[in-house]
Amino acid sequence: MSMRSKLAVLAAIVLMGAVAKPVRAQEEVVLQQANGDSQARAINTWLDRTSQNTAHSADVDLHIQAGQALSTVAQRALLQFDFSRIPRAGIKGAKMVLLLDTAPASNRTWGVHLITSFQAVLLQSNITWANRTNQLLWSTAGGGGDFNGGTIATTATGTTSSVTLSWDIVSAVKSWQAGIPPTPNYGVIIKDETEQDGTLSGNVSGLLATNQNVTPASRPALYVDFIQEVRNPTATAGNGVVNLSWTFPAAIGTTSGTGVTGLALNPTSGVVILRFQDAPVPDAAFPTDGTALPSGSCPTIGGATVVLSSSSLTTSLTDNLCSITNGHTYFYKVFAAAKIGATTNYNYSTNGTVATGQDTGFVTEIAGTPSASSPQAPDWIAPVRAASLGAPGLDPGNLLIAVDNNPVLQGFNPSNGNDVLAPMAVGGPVSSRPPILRVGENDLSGPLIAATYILSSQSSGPGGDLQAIINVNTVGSFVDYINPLFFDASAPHFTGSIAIYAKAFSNIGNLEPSDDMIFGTNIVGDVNNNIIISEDVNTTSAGSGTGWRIFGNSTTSLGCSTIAFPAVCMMDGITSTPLVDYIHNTIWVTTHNNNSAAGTAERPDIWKMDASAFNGNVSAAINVGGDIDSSPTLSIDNTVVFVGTNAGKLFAFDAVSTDVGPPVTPHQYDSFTVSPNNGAIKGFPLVIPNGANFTVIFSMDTTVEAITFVTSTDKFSAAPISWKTSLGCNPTTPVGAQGVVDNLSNPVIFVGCSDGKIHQLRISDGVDEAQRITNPAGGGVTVGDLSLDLFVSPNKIFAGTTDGRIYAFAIPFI
Amino acid sequence: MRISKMCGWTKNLFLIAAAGCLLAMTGCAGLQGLLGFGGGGPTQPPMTATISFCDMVTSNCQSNAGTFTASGTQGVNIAVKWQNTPLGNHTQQIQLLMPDGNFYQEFQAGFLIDSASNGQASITRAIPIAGTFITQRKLLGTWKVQVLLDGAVVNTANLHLN
Repeated sequence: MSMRSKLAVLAAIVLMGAVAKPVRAQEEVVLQQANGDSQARAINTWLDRTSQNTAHSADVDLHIQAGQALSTVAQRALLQFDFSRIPRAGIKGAKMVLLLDTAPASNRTWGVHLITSFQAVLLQSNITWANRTNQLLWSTAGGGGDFNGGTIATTATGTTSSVTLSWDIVSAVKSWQAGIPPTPNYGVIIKDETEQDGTLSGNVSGLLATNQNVTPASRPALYVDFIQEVRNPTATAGNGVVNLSWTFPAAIGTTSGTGVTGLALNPTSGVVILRFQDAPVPDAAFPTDGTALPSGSCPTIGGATVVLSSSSLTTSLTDNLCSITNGHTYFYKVFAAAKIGATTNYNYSTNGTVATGQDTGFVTEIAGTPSASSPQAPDWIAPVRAASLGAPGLDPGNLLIAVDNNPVLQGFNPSNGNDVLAPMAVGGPVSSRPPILRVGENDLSGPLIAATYILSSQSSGPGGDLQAIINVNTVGSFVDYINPLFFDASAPHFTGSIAIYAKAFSNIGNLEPSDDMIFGTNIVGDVNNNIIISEDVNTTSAGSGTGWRIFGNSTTSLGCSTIAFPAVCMMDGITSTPLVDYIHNTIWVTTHNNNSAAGTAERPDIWKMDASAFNGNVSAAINVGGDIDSSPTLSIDNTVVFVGTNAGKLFAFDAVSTDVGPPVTPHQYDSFTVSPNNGAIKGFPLVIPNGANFTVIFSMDTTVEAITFVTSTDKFSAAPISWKTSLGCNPTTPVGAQGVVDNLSNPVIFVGCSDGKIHQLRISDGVDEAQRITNPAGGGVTVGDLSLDLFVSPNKIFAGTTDGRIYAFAIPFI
Repeated sequence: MRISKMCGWTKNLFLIAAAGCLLAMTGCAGLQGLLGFGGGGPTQPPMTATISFCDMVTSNCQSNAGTFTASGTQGVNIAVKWQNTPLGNHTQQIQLLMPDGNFYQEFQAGFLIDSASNGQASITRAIPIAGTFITQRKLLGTWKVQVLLDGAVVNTANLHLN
């Protein structure tokens, strides 16, 4: 074959390849600060190595500059788009388009890099070469941003001004919107790929338009192509059958023609459902983009059974198919499908990431357990894809916020599990329930809006922790800001949650000017220098607002120490959530105590403070014997504070008596030692009124137990209620409320367990009368702490699990 | 000499570098990617990330794998020592996978390798144990610790929590 013939064959092969390449099918949305898209959470700024402390967030252009070899000149652009308009979806394309206001003098290669540290949106005027927030430095020595060395995409600038440059950043968008787990979206850096360029005799730079440009169409734009996931999934199990239903969301973007990404656009037109027995559908099981709908009798994909493959927008399925058997839990993944033009092939609502291959982690899921006698199914399942053991935060009836150790918050509608907050990056892992104040319950400046308070341990950088506040304007629309609390080398962690001292719930004794967030540090390995903090919710800079801090190891008062005056109160780590007594304007905090069973007197483990005194005076403190991980609980009439210790002892303190300090011993009513000891009392003691008395219910290593506190004697008593129930697994803290009863009107409580189940226990005798299964794989996943919503119908209980999902069940179970 | 500087290569590799640049027509970065770690190029030791685990209170340190008693451990420092790391900005990720294989937590840290770094960096992250769900819910067994550089796994180690 001649060289000419060989070239012709080669060209034909290349052409065939181009023709055979599947045309994508999806809808397209542009994220751009224009036409009703506020891009409220967007960041546009640039970093200047020459002027390292100068911020540029108000500039009309982003500067990108390279210098000659050995120079110290460099300028980098920092961009973050607000993704709150993008629903759960399989991402298929993403193209970032920026206007090159001024081209560099010579053609340069500008690359996009993934940023890996948090910067606060509302503090972006403080982002510089040196700083990522007003007080936190970039952890990369020398500054200039924390970002991945590898590029997501590059583009050649050319030398012509007033043209657009574009980058394909679909891999980044997929990792932000999906991924196992999702990657926090901290934005991107755009930089010259050869900053200290030996070929340059001088410096060369170019300018890109920002959101400050007066022409909306000239502002940064991100075109995103996607297939939305189905919504409102339900499952109703019966005898040998699971009935499923779902809905298709309306398109929110362009669904015809060719998108800016270059991909053809088509609306959703079909659905495929995979089923798997006794475990979620494997992430590796999915219909492949560009292929026909699965066909045949009960075909399998990746070990999962195809129970529906439809070219129409059908919205229900009676699954008595493919050998479904009573007694097994069946998980379903519902894939939306979009037909590719005139072909018979489809694309599906999956993602693909470089790290994980095809990613089905956020495809809509539901499950059901058919049975002749006791079929069951969760009301909904929502994926978060990182272990979620903290109780979900709840604005009852409106919003559930799932927390996990991945620094991404996700919000769901508690009624149906639909996503209402796009994955939102925070500074670090959030390990406990975030409190939420509903509309009208807070005094934040401006309109009364719902607010969520997040305490996260910083995941990036050498020190510091961040406190985030999210203002939820309406469900699905929000802005956020961050209050960096610590930026020193001690790098404390936050293990417990925030207690809110809200003006709306307070009496006239609350003299604080606004709502306060109260929490404690957990400086691992330091048994002396932890801090109890009260921070004004309106404060946006560390330590500069109103509020107070009680420092351990400081000379605070008499009474904490056996040492003569001046006495010193040491403070070990705090892993619990403080208790606010709104009637008496006091705060109770539990701490570790020298990591020991006995503790030491100069290191109290229960602290009582005056909440209204602007300085958090410690009015009483006591060592009751070693570490405490559980939080104090108040009786419903605000008369008794209950504390459970790691040594398995329960204490009752007088909440009414006034202690004016310096720290005195709080008035103790009684104590009760659990026998035989079964480990630490976890979470918090649950206190349920029982006539004039209180039933105190608590969880230990393998048991749930109850004891009565008799108010006429202020003593614990085995009568009328005392029981111990062994579940054969490791239970969560019990949850319940007055009026929560079973179908026979018996008061009940709920606990999650390490057997993958949520158990319903009768308060009167502790009988484990019914269970609901989350994920039975491997003997059952570990179920996290529970939240109850009594504002939805039917009432629901929510739990995260170690498999990275939130499960919702209707209560009572029976 | 000029090409040698551009490519970051030594002078005695001038001819090889020049030939590579001409043949590949991808510039020196592309050439370095093709030849920099073998294939007849200069002997350059591979990048490594050594993982060690230290009890935060007792400073008991163990390399490559760690065994700790959860009930008696306040926290564990995971230290990663990088060697022969390429020049430029990087992000280290430490991912913790639970004994059942599910994702538990990730820590990130940005760092810069410049000409003075000699390809080395050490980054430590603290993992609290006491009072967390690890102890409260007895998430015991063999945890997997994955260390990534710029999104790619470089090393793994086991952390045994009893």
